[in-house]
Amino acid sequence: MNWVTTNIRLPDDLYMDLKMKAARERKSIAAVIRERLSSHEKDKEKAQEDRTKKILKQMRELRKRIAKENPGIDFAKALIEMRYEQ
Amino acid sequence: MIVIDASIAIKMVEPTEKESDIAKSILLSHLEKKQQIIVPKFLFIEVANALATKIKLTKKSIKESLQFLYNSDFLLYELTEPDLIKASMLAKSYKTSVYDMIYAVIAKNKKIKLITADDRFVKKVGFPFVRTLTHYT
Repeated sequence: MNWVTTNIRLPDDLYMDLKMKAARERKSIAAVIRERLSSHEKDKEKAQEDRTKKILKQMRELRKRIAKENPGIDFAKALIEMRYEQ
Repeated sequence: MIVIDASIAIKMVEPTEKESDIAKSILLSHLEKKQQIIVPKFLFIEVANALATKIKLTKKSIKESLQFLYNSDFLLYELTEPDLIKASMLAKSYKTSVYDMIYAVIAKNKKIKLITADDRFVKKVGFPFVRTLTHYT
């Protein structure tokens, strides 16, 4: 892994939080910041995955119900017919 | 990024068709942010109209189908006056509706593909960036 050194500006209260956490856990402030960033990314990815699963589940359930209400109907064909009626 | 029209969006709630599974995989790519879908706002109106007037669905299924499409987080394209003028000129030249042509104008502006299930529209315009669902895969 290649490392890049950079400067970031933090509000002083956040800096103090990080410094205290680093002291408690006997880590460098840089390590604490890296962990937080990585954990935030993982949380975002997990939330995205959960949302995708939820939408696909909703789709499966909807399709199952619609199949009972409208067996064999081509929805797109019906919509296209509606377009050309106008 | 791709544009889909209402004929593809409605396939996302249509059960058991082979093409509906292709529509489902387009949606999955969008949700996983591999290839995002962009649509004009009136797509929802076109789908709602078809569900309410052309297909025998219960009120509950109509409501949930529309909620499902809204929840899918499609990127929304804001139509501008030049877009509408361009779509109108092209609709006049190619003898299509302005509604159908707006999807093509979005695709052209964004230099992306429009996917539709409307074969007649694809044949009429012959734009290289407009594809049917079967030719898309």
